[in-house]
Amino acid sequence: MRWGALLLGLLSAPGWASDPLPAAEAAKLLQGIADASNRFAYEGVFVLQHGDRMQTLRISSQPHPAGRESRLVGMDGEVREVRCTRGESVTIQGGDGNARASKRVISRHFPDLLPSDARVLTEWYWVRQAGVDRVAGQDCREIVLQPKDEYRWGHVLCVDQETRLPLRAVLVDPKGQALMRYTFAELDILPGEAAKARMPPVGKPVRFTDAPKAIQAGAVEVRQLPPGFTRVAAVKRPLSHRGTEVEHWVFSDGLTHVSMFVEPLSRPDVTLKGASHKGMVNLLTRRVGAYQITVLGDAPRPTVELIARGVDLASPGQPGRP
Amino acid sequence: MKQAHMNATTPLESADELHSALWDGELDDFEARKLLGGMDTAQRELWAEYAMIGDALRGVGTSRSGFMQRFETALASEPTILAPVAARKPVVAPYLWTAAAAAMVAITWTVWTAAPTDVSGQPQWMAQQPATSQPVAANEYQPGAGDLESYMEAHQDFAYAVVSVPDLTVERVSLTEVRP
Repeated sequence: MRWGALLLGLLSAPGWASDPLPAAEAAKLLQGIADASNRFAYEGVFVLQHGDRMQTLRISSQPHPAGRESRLVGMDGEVREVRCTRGESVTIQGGDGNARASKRVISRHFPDLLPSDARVLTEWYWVRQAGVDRVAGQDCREIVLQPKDEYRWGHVLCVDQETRLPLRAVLVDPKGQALMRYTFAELDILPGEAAKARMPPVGKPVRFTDAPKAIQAGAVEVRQLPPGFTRVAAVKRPLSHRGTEVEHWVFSDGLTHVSMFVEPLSRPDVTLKGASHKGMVNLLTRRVGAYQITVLGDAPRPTVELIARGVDLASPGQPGRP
Repeated sequence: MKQAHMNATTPLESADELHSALWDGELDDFEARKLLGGMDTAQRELWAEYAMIGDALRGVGTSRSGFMQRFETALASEPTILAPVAARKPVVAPYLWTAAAAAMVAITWTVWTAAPTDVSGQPQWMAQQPATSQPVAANEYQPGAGDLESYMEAHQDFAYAVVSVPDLTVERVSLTEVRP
């Protein structure tokens, strides 16, 4: 309840009501934020709150010519770690003797939330500057990304005044209610060498699950996407609890990501839809030909519905066409 | 020292009470940030203990899969409830609520409804057509927790989070089916 009151206060701040920045100024501001995550070495602890759940993670990150190197370690719950190095990312779960690793499809994570070319976001979001706050002992400026349509959630970032690194990021719905929140509890900007010394090399996991394999075309094609969305990934990958591989497509506008899973229909023909507690995650399944399509993402329902509605069997000559 | 620090923050509450309030989401943003930012080693250990206890109660961690299996079994044995699609008010078998409450599971059941596919392949709810309740076959597909978990787990690569699978669990309110 207090979180809602907080957001209400946040969104009623003068900055929220202020005029959007001109496109050029907004693009420059967002690009500065996007670049900051890859320009500095840092380590710290941040808290992720999603619904009733909260998780604390320790992060170390340093820039690298071939892509940022970072390590995320969950400090509570199951032993879980993410290592990103040179554009590749691996999740390691389980403790010594029972560790298993799986390759991630992308290697980005908080506070690196904005796409590498963040300027394009100004087409789909109004950008406003709000007030000054203090997070992890450092002053930060609130930047509000308000969606221009119904196909994406809003974002409220609190950006370090000096480094432009996001110290807090809140995903909000159209009513201004927080859906998910990242907040640094502590953060140290480090000289590069110091960060490297604190990041031990990845040990060999006991078990390495099958890595996703990139695909160019699949069993189906998507003929309609929400404005600004493009396909950013298409892989064939195994899923836990499943014996077979499925196609996993991902669509994004740079901030919002929607997954689509394509698998042979093995159940009766039923179309279902669902949503998470606060509606942050929406899901829809439907049949297309001999395939079951499952579309889900941290996106408003219209986004998921539009993508699902645009799915059809691949053109003649493509796999999946009878 | 820990007590002194916490007393300086809020005189009326002990450190344990503050941590408990933080865990329950009862602190506002200012209080939460202040508390998290001021944690020393001992307090972080205490926080980790809370997390471990919470995970154990929620059935996550090493025993999580067992819970999910029981959950799937419970869901599979749930009788199909026939109701209009518009009826979104949660209707959950009491024993599931009891189980959830007993385990202090932060699971919110959300709505699963069927939006039947017409002959053109378009989901009918998009055309705003009223759904018709029909008996549902006993072997009708119902999403199991394992299905949701595997989808969400894969989607985590793009969710910027390193959390375990989010609590995307469902409340099956109605399941309708229209055949041409």
